[in-house]
Amino acid sequence: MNDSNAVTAETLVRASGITKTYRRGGESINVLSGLMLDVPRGDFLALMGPSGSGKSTLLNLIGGIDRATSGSIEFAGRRLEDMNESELARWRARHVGFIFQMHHLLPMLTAQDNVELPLLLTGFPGAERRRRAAAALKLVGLADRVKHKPAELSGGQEQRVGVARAIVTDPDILLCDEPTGDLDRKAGDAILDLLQALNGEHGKTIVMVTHDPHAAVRAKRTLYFDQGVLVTQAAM
Amino acid sequence: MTTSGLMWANLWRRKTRTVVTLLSIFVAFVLFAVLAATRQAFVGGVDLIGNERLLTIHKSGLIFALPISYRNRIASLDGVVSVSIGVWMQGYFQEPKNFTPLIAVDNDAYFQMYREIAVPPEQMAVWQKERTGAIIGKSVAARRGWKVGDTVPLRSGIYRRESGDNTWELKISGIYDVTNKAFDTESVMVHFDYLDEARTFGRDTVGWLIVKLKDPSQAARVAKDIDALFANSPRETKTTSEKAFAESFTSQVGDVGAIVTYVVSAVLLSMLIVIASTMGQAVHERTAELAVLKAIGFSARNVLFLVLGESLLLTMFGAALGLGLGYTVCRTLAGQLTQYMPAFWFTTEALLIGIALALSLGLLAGAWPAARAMRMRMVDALREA
Ligand SMILES: Nc1ncnc2c1ncn2[C@@H]1O[C@H](COP(=O)(O)OP(=O)(O)OP(=O)(O)O)[C@@H](O)[C@H]1O
Ligand SMILES: [Mg+2]
Repeated sequence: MNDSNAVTAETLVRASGITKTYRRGGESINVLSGLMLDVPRGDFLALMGPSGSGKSTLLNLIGGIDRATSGSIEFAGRRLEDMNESELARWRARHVGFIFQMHHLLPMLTAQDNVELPLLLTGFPGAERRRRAAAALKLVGLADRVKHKPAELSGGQEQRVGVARAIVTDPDILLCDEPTGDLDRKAGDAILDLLQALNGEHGKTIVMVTHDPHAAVRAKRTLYFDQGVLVTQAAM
Repeated sequence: MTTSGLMWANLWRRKTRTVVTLLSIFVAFVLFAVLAATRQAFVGGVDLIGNERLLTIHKSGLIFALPISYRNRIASLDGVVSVSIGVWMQGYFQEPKNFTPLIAVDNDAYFQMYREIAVPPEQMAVWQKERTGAIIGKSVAARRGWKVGDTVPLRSGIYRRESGDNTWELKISGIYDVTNKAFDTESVMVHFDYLDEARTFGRDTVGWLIVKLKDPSQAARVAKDIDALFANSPRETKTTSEKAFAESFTSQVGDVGAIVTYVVSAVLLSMLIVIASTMGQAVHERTAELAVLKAIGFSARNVLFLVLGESLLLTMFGAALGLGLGYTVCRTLAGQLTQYMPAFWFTTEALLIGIALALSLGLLAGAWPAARAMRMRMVDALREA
């Protein structure tokens, strides 16, 4: 959409020559083959492609919860493949916010406590953790639902708690895997409004995997998977 | 929200399962407390016995008597401070089921020997002047409602008087208490002379001799000297430390200690299986959630601690309730059993062992599920969810 912006901005994520091969039984499946991707800071990128094309795989690699077979992923100049597992965990806690299709909230915790979870890994005292979690819930419009448990919330509200959990640590990048996939149009729109606001007003870089063209148009740009690499135009 | 709060919340994810597991841990630890107290009743006293005394009995066993003259011969040996004597009279009150240990001793020499047995000095002085006097244990006095000055008839299962009667009239001169848990307050002590003058057989003999050592480290040498003194005589002796004697006595009771240990081990082993299976299920159900926690930055070690902590919390909670009730049960039982098992007691040592066992149980049971949670691959877990 706004490519001139991307040229001048600082690159936050740079994936170069990413290959991901799964071995099942005797045969190996090449999911990604030499993929290149630059995500500038402040970008809102939608990733589309047929099922099984490797969208989630790429998102997991960028988020450091999976490792590439070969190639390199740099995040703000740091190479993820040079970090060991515990360094990677610490890095995720500081820099990455995940939003899953299935929000995966802990059912026995209130919205407030669910949002506080990532803050347990920080040095913040309890009062500060509560304050930040409350602020995040307010930002997603759930200030009046802090004491509710996931079962007492609608699907859209649950996903908004998921968004609050992802942003509470003030990460640099939000990685969303089909964040509206489980929601009806109205609830989905509310989430997309939220993501747009987080990108536009709070400067969050967002990479969002989606099947829904209606969702993709909210992003600044869209890339399509084609045979293990990314292209700017859908191959029809 | 805190990490321990998270563990606690996780624990109550499946209320029924947690309650059932807690109940079995609870029952196991009540059982542990009662069994530990039982074990104490049989073998516990032994540890408290000092080693400054030797016990000399007939080589063929306690039921054979030894001449009282042995007392002076032993007293003249090197390393011996003093010698006292005892005769077992197999006492009871009215009926044999009212068993009351009745022992004839040599006046205050016996009480000089056993500093652990405390008698008020003025009562002691009275006893020494009363031929039929008796010093009775505090518990006996309490149970029968006997007071100093009362005259009571105790019967002997062994010794009859010349009149043919086995009743021994005793005047209660004093009541003793003990300063060491290895001793009980269940016995009645009478003068050896009173018994010896009136009994129909066994005159001038004793059941055992108690030897006070100058130096406990000389015990083995003195014991050998004593037995050598009477070697090849018609009545040879066997001398051991009081502690060794008590140990051989308890091992005759059927090694209750070992049996209790086996039972407790079996119970703990089944607890291990129960807790490990509960935690295994918990981790299995929560695979996706644990994967999410890892994704948002929980390290493998954080996840390990989370699961181990939950397992510990579950076990320690159940164990605390169990040990608590176990203690109360033991206290109640101790009151009722004092006549038969005076040493029945849930000791501080047993409590500490119980806590240590609960800790190890929690860690051990949580180890495998925790390791599984730690090693679980996020992408696979999230994909399956
Ligand atoms: N752990 C694995 N073992 C073997 N193959 C895998 C594994 N994970 C993913 N794959 C394969 O990799 C390919 C890409 O999977 P991925 O989940 O990235 O697809 P996707 O584009 O997100 O699909 P969808 O739109 O259905 O979510 C698929 O063919 C999948 O079967
Ligand atoms: Mg996917």
